[in-house]
Parts: sequence; C-alpha cells; structure tokens
Amino acid sequence: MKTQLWEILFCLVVLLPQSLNLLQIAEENKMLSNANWSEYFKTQPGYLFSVLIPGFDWLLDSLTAFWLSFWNLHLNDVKPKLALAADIPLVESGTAGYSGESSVIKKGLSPCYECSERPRNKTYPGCTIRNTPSEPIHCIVWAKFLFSQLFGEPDDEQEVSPDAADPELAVGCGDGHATGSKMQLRTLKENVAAWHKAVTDVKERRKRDGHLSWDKDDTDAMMFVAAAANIRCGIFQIEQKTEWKVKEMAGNIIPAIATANAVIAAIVCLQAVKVLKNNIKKTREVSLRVQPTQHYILAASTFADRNDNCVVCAEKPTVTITLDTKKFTLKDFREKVCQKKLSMHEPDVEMDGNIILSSDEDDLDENFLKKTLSEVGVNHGAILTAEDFQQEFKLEIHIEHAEELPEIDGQNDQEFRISGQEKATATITAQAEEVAIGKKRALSSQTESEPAAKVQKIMDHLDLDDDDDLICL
Amino acid sequence: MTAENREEQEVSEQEVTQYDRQIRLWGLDGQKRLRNSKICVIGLSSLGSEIVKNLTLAGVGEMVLMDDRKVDEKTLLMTRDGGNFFRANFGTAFENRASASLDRVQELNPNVKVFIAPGFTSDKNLDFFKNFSLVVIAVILPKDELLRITGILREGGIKHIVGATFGMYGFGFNDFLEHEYSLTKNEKTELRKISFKPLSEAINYSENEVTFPKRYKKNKVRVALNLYEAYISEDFKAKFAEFESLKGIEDWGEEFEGDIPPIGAIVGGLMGQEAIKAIGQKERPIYNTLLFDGDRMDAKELLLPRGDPKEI
Repeated sequence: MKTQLWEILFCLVVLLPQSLNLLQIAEENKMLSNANWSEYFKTQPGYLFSVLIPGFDWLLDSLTAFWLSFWNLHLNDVKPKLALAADIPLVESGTAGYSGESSVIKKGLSPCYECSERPRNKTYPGCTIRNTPSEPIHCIVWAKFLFSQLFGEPDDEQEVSPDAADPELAVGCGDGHATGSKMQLRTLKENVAAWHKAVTDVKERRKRDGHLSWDKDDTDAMMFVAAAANIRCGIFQIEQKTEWKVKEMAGNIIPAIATANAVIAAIVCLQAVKVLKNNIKKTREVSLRVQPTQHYILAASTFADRNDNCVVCAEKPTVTITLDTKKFTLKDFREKVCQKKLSMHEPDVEMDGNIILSSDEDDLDENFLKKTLSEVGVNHGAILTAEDFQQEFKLEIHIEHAEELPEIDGQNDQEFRISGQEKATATITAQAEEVAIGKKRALSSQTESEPAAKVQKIMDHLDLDDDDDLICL
Repeated sequence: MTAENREEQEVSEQEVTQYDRQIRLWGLDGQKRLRNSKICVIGLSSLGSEIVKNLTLAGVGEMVLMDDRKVDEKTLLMTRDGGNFFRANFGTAFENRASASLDRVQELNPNVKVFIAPGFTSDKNLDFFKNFSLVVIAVILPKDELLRITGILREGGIKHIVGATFGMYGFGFNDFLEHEYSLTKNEKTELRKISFKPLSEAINYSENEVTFPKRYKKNKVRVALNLYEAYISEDFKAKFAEFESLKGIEDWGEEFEGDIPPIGAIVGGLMGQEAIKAIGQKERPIYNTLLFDGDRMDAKELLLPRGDPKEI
C-alpha cells in the first residue's frame, strides 16, 4: 500500500500547487489532538479538508498529532462517518491484487460507505471448527484458536475441544484427500517436530512475557498454526497446505502490486482535482480490472443511487428494531445492536430525556446492564435516540416488541431484526394513524409527494454530460 | 548474459520474502520469469519513469534506461516530457536523463541490475536489442524511426510496448508477437495463444475495421483514431492542438504543457501491468491498443480485426 501513498504524494503534493498549502497548514496546526478533529473539519474553511483522502493521513501524521487509521473497509471505521457528518467530500479508494477502485463520497449525492452491505470477516460455526472440519481453513482457524487457548487470554468463543453434545460428532468425516503442491508440504513426522519446536519456544516466551496473541509475522506462532492445522487436516483427511499458503489464509493476506496501486492513486488525484475545482459531478466510480471486460480495463461510471434506507447518510437516520423487550438485556442492546450492528463506538441512548445507556464507562454497572429493556421502560413503540459523539452520529431507534421473530428464508437464528428508514416511516405512520385518525389525510398526502421529491433528487444528481450513455458495467 | 544462463536463476528465499504480496498473485513461476527478464525502457518522461518504477519494484532481472535528452535545471519536474521523478539533486549536472535517474531507480530495488544505455535509438540496431526480453518505447519518435525500431524488434523476436501521453489522454500499443499465456478461471488453468499484429500493419487499419466498445460514440472514435495517427505523424504537435484532448488540462496549470503526472502514472501503471503480463505469461494482455481518457477516467481496448482472443 505504500506505493499507492507515494504516488498520491507525488502527484498531489509535489505537483498540485494547492497541496503545498495543505502541508503548510497542517504544520501550523501541530497541536491538534485527535479528540477535536471533527470540530476541526468544520471550522477549517477552504483548502485543508476541502477533500479528504484516506491513506493520505500518514503524511499528516508525521507533521501533526493527527490520529487516523489507514484505509480499510471496516464498517466501524470512524473516518467515513466523520467526513459525512462534516459534509466533506471523501475520495475513497482501495486495491486488492490486480483490481482496484475509487469513488467519491459526498453526503446526499453519492452512496456512502454503509449504503450497501459490505462483506464482514467470515466466521465459521463452532461445531464445524470443533467437531467436523471439512476444509483446510476450518483446521487453520482451529489451530489459531488452539494457540490463543494455550498462550493467550482464554476465550469461550474460541473453544477447541470436541463438543460431545453435538449429534454430528458421531457422523463420519469428509472424504477429501491430500494432494501435493509446488511448495514443500511437511510430512506428518516433520509437522509433529515443527509443532513441538514451536510449542517449546512459545512456552518459554509465554513464561517470560505473559499472554501472547497470534500474529502471522511471528515465526513461532506461524509455525505452530501451520503444523497444528496440517496435523488436524491429516486426521480428518483434508487437503494439507504449505506454511506459505497457511500464512495467507490465517493472516488474511491481500496481494498487492505496484501497478494497480499507481493507477488507483493517480485516479484518486484526478478525482480530488475535480472536487477541488468544484466539479464533483464529474467524478466517477472507477474500477480497475485484471483484463478488459467489455473492452474496458479501467471502467468509469457515474454515481450509483444512494440507498434511501441507509442509516448513516440519511437526512434523519431512523431504524426499527424488532426484539423481545422482556428478554433482551441492556448489555446486549449496547454491544450487539449499537456497537456491532450500528457500528457505534460509545453509544449514548436516551428516551424522552431519560438516559438509558451512557457512554461513560463509570455509569455502566454490571447489575444495571443485566436489566431487560422492558424493566427500564423500553416497550413496544418506544422511540429512542442513540448518539455517538465520537463519530458525530445520531439516529432514532423505534422499538417493536415481538416474542418470536418472523422467519425469513426459513432462518431464525437472530435475537433481533433491524430494518431501515422505510419501515420506520411506516411505523410512525401507523402509530400516528392509531393515535389520530383525523390526521390521516395529511400524512398520506405527504407520502404521495415523496416520489416526486425523489425524482427531483435524482434529476439533480444526474450528470448532464453527453457522455453519460457510456456507463459501462 | 545469454538467454540460457539467465533461465537458470531461481527465486531466492530473500526474494520470496520481499515479493511475498505479488508472488501470491502471479505465483513463483511468474516471479521466476520476471527475475530472469531483461528490460529496456526508452524515454524517461512521466510515463517512462512510471514504467521503470513499476518493473523495478516487481523485480525484473535487468533494467536498462535509455534517454539522452539533457537535464534542464530550470524546468525541474514540470515540463513536457519532464515528469521524471527519479531525478536526483536538481542542482547537479548530469549527462542526460538516464544517468540522472540511475541512483534513484537502483534505490528502489537492490536486487535489480540497473544500467544506462548510452546514446539514443538512432544508433541502435538488432545487435543492441537482441538480448532483451521486452523493450518499452515511452517516447514520441518520428514515424520512420518508430517503424524502423519496431521492425527490428519484430525481426529479432523481441516483445515490445509503445506508449505516450498527451494532455489528458494516453495511449499504449502491445506487440507480444506469438504470445502464450495461462488463464485461471474457476480454479482451472488453461493455456491460450494470441498472434499480435505489428505496429506497421496496425496503423493502416481504417476506423471501420477497429472494434470499439459498444455504445461508443462515432465522433469519439474519430478522436481516438486521430490521436493514434497523430502519435505517429511528424507534425504531432500541430495536429494535437486540434483535438479536444487538452480538455481538462487547465485544471493542472499551463506549465505542464501536456505532460500531466497522474496521466503518466495511470498509463504507466496499465502499461507496466501489460509488461508484466508479457513476461510473466499470466492473464490476457490488451490486444493491441489501449486508449486512456483522463477526463472520463476510463481506459479501453481498441481491438484490431482478426486474431481476437477467444474470450472477447
């Protein structure tokens, strides 16, 4: 990824006159701390953050006390939300192997980070890991868990011993078979020896340094996982992988090449110049391919439509959450709903001015968190306001009580269900109808006017450039 | 330095570590081919230096730089054909651009042997080129000279890439002769072949014979072809001025005079990837012409008739 940064640096900082000022201003503001930099976004007129380029941060980092994480697509990444909150265009980009992409995110104009569901880190069911592995990755995950259990902090979710209660345990194992590979595979004997050596070394370090966490660049830890995974693969007759390959799978390594980084970094610069020249509608969603698809190796299209249900970039973000208010605890609500699902960091939740959850750690006592939602007065139809100061993110949560969640696609493994803006609006409408039937006419006329507004919005965003019909998919 | 003893060099442990992220993409065999390749890059403008950077980082065996144009201290980075980011110490006098770039290129990757070729294309013949696995021409040459060089390379069986940037546009032409490559789809790897057309033949095709992307407007086709023709014509600058290819250039200030660094980076990145395809023999290369439009930010393949790769 470094080459991509250098490219941006070269194209934008060295050669774009405006950027020289950027460096200067950044230097003048050495004292900036990370706590108030969202304020800083808003107060700085003109240049400095007229456009925000993720990945450019390390440069600022070396000059100022800015704290920012490098580009990644984690949903709980603070930066995109902050840029949205401060209404600053964000030039987003990334590469993976031969491919890459870049687009501009602007509030109300383009889809934001969270308008579409992005893949989260894949997890595997506990029973597959513990009892019935069928692919090499299952054994690799198992070996990583084993490492954590032996040398790290104990974690119930990373259990490795067979689960006797699982009926599938008795069922036979997969019928895969070991195949050779270009890079050397260890024999069982070598695997055992390698594992033994790794265990001996790691044990020493464990005694000396306390809890260890697994790291792909830690030679011993890597050897431990590769050897343990392959021994387990052997037992279950699953294809074994070389240590080099195991490292890729266990460490989620994404291939990177200089060429793709150069192309995407330069595209970021072109996008940034368009934004700075007040030509944001001329920016494109650009994607780079391995080989031409329909003749395009670098394809550009205009903004896709925003997701109207997106809880992040909507004018007034609202969601409806269906759950069992009599069973769902505040702890679950904080961790599973607010933090995991809505990617808030330190949520403050209020109802009618009463604090339900506080972002202050001191206020979160265990006993209080054990209470169910209904015990603190949150019942069917409750409207909560959740806010995360760190991200300048605020949304309204409508609670729907249901003892059992309706099944979707025959699946019902969740404790709660979340739906977006439309559902919330419908709920409000329904509630309003119940309360005051007389107002129905006014409300429905309001809904009717929405499509017209939507069309207008789309029209506003349409790029009237005559090249528009060239959008290539 | 003969082809035979170059083939024998294996990728070392140190190299496996250094190139880890890319070996995961094109495999040890791809890296081995790169490791044993010898590249010549002619012309060190923003485009040429970008290609040099990409191939040096990728870990080619030898990199030979050729550009005898004088270094001009006053113009620094910002003039036409001057966007060379390798140039060290601006105050120091160097013989030419190639020698001024040598140290920085070498710094990028100590594993690569970097050399300078003295002189320029006019005094070079097959004897000079015959040991190269790939030649990249990233400089605007007069039509006759360009055809002479590409003719020599064809004759000597040397794969080559020709490219240039003008304003917001960039252009690349691949001639990989009879090219074999492997393509992995759905975990199955198959071998494929393409016969490339030489440049001398390609420039004679008319507009109607070249396949453009569907829905591509006719007038744009004309512009593309004009650029293509202009590229190899002597009065390039005069013709160039007629086109809308300078569109958008005002954003970058007039001092760039047509050589805009990000355009060089994009076209150089795409051409660098084509060079890696030529040597590594993985993935389908562009057949034959690539046209990049910096205003629209897309790059497309202009297909020549016959010999199309199967999957198109």
